[in-house]
Amino acid sequence: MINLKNFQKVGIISYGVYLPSYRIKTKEIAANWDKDEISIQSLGVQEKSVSDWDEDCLTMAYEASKEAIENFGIDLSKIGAVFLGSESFPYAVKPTSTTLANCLGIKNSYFTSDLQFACKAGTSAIQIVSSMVEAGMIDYGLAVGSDKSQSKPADALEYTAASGAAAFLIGKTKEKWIASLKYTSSYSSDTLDFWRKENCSYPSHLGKFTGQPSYFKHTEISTKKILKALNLKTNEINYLILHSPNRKFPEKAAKNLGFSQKQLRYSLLVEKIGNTYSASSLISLANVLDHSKNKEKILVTSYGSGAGSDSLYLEVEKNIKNIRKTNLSKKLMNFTYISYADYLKKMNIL
Amino acid sequence: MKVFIKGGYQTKFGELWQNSLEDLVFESLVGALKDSGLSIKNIDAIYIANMLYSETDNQNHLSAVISEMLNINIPIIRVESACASGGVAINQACNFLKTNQYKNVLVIGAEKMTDLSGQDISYYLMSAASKEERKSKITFAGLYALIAQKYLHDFKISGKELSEIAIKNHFHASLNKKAHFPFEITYQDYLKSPNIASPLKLFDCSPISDGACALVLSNIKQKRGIEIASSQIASDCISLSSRKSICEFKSTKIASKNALKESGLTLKDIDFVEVHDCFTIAEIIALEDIGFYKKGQGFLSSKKKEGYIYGKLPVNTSGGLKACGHPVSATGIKQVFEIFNQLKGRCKKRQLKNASIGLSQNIGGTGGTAVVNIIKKS
Amino acid sequence: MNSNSINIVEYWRDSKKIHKLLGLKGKIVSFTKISSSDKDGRNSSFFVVLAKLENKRSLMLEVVDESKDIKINDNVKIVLRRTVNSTKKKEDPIIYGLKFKK
Repeated sequence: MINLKNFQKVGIISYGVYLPSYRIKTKEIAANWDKDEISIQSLGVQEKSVSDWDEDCLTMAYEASKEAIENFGIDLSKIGAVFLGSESFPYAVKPTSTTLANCLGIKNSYFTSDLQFACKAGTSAIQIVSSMVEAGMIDYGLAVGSDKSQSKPADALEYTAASGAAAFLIGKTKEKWIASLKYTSSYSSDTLDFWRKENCSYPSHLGKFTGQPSYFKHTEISTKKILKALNLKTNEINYLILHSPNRKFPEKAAKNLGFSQKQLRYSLLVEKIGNTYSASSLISLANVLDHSKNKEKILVTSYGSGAGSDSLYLEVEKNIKNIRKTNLSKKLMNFTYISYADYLKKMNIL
Repeated sequence: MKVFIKGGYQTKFGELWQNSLEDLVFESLVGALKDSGLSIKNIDAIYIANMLYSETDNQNHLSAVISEMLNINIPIIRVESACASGGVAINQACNFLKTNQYKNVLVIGAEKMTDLSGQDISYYLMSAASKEERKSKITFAGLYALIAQKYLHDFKISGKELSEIAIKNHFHASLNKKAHFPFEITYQDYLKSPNIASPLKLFDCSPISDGACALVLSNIKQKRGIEIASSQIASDCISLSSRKSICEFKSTKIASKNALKESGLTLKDIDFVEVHDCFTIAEIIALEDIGFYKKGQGFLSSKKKEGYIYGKLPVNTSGGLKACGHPVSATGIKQVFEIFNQLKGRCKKRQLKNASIGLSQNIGGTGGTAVVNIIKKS
Repeated sequence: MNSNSINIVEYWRDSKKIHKLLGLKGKIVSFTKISSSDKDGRNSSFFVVLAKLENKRSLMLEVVDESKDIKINDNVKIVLRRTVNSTKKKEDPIIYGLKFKK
């Protein structure tokens, strides 16, 4: 049983986002398979981000983390934790988080681990780092979600599995908070909706089973639980972020929970960048923070297959005015379209 | 004490499938001995220049290989300075002769490059460059392309000026039976050749060649001999990124200045040159570094036909590296042998009239080593 | 000499200094587009740039594929990327390094 703790000492200090420079249109993918465009329209995804052949979970995590660190200008020796969530780590055995820390110039005294929980590994990283800050074990920590998600050619996931990274610098210094993290909770179960065995290049999934018994069940229960514990009504939340494997799922879940589409408005980037897996909820949170104002309330519920949902409740602080933003809107427009053949080369499938 | 060239021999340069490195070494040394009128018994030491055998065939210790080949026990020393190995071997042999009671030294430069794929040889040639350069994935042609790109940008010349170097050297090679490419090319041929590393095209690049060249050097006084008036080496940073300017080779400037000083000669005394045109841009820069042309004007040598056999300062009458070929460690020795042959009047169709002093410039890598030898009629 | 073996210890030594160069900006001194395929079996052409960095040192690095329009005096930045596309041995570790990005 989770004891819902009211965090007193935890806030987001800064954040960074990395989106690769390429996009492929879903209709380009469909055309390659001679698939009817209409059949993929319901996903609500127009295009997805594609990273280059020499980019991966680490290189993207580095870019996002570097931005978060530079946006604040922190003395690196103060960072006491680096937690990296992904489902596309370069190694099965060898932590990527230590390579990330090394590239950033963070020396040896830090808590760290690689986290794997499909698309919720990024929010799990936030939970762990926040707990350490709250417990006084560290002053600042880095929580990162980064993925270069693979999908089997011709499979349904090919239209949405994308690349991206986001990093959050979390710390105890109240005056520097741009948003305080007040509560976090989780809801988990052993559910076989989506998996990838070792030595398999691509994940497998159970089609429609990934809906109600998986995504919707965990997302909705976790969200309802935290709202109840906080004694908040849905209309008191300014921004809702739900994990977006496509556009359809979060819109439906929001409706089921009693939220309006307006509350989702900054978190449906999936339409333009696809599903960035462990980075998904984090990139949406960054977009929300780019647009938010002092005292606004943010609720995040991620979903990771296998399965579980993390919920985070944050309140925006007045320092949001002073933070150097990630300019995500600009990054969203800075790309080139590629062909399906180029896509296969960049994903190292060819 | 003076050092004379008694004789020499060059194998054909080219794709010599039938010949191993040992075959080429043997052919060249036998030919050089014959040309000198000596036998191996008269030789007091051998300098063997070779760069790649240790990598392509995992064979170091060439001294012992040659000892076995000839059944001899004299001192045999391997010299390696990338593409300057041949020139450096001559330099070392001269020094050896000047300080010892030994009389005759055989200097051999040999390279076997065409057995392996172009990709493999490209990889091994990058051992002449720095670690940083290898990590950047640049090829050897790419390094000289960086130099050419900067040069073309700063001095406002174009690929046309580069092509004129290649055209001249091919013209000379068409008069040299031993050349790898004994035929002329046109500007159209140059334009049609594939891009290798911008702005360099295939015809800006010297080929991958097999070949060997050997000389017999002696400190026995000779009337009317051909003398090595001076031999000087200079070095410079291996990485282009450590140089102040990438459009000049400090090593050439120092080595040529010292060679002129040692010989007591001036630039005006030099009648013709063999310079290291591993890539067309290298010939332009060499002529400027030695001082024959002002900075930015080295291209005039080919453009104004001054560098042709009938011009005022013939450059690379052998065909240069571009057209005679570039079996790496043989080149520096071939350059001196060409000068020797010119001074001896043995060059037939490409014979210069009235030449009495020649200068060779041999480079390692992108100028990490430069050797300048000045050879004159005694 | 085995052209396919990686000196992993050397890679580890070099990796300790990587954070000092990452993110540094520079100006292009010269560049070239390599047309021939490299040993990695990646047949596409790529750029190599020699740039003078803001710390006064010069450095020669491969350029990321997405930076296509390269000119002398352009500004570049150092980024972290994989540098070897595929190694002959599947068991070899992943090699990360520096590249220039416009």
